Amino acid sequence: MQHNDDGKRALQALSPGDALLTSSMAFTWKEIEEYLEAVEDPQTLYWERQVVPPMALATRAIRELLSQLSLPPGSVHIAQDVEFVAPCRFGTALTLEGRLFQNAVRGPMHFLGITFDVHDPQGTVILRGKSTVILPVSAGTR
Amino acid sequence: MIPGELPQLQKRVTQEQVERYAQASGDFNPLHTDPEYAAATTSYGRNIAHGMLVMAFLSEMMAAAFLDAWLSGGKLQARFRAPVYPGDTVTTFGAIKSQREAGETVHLEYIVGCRNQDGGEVVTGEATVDVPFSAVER
Repeated sequence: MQHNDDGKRALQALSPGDALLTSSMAFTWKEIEEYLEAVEDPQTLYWERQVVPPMALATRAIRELLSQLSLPPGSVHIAQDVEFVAPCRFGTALTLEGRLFQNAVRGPMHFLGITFDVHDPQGTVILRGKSTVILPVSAGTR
Repeated sequence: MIPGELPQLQKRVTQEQVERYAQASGDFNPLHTDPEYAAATTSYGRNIAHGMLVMAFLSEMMAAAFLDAWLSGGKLQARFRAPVYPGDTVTTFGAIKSQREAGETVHLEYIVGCRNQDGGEVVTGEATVDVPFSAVER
């Protein structure tokens, strides 16, 4: 597995179909509070049922996956698909699996695409996602 | 009853909010948080909000309309068409595209998105949700 000086996976070494590292994650009350304050979402249902806001889950999954890759600072998230399969309760230990579906330079743009699943401890998928990011070509694979 | 138009949300995005979101999400891309970087090295000329922050407004709109059905089976496809700058006011929209019976539920498709204060579409997409008959017959 090829890594750059920053310890992250080099984009040049990645091909569509490659798996990204599996990682574990869970949410604390404080993290959920910070997220809901940041997006200014007044929905009380999350607290009443102790359910993680699904976009908080998606956001964390994307961050975990992208943080494994050597992305230049000018990278821009251009598209996002999410499917909230089932609610996730606070504190649930989750497993994240990601896979590259696109890593291509087209003209002045470098497109990077990732799909991911988040599983609960029983292995049931609770969230699916698909992210597309564009990067400055000079810092990418060309 | 199935809503043809979803209640809109209006949000004024501030740099303080963008920084709070960076902290909460862990996404400290300087495009969002460093004014000098954004001015010097990007075509935007200044900081822009995270796409996922704006997308969260769409999920909030859907959750407000459909609650449990949104949390258990909701799907959202979003395309970040144009930047949202701190100081912009973003308004969500959602209009029904199709509906069909699917077993014990009604499958609903909505055209959704966000517009800025000038009417420009900054996020566009589709949202789907399966709502129990019992919830829509009321």
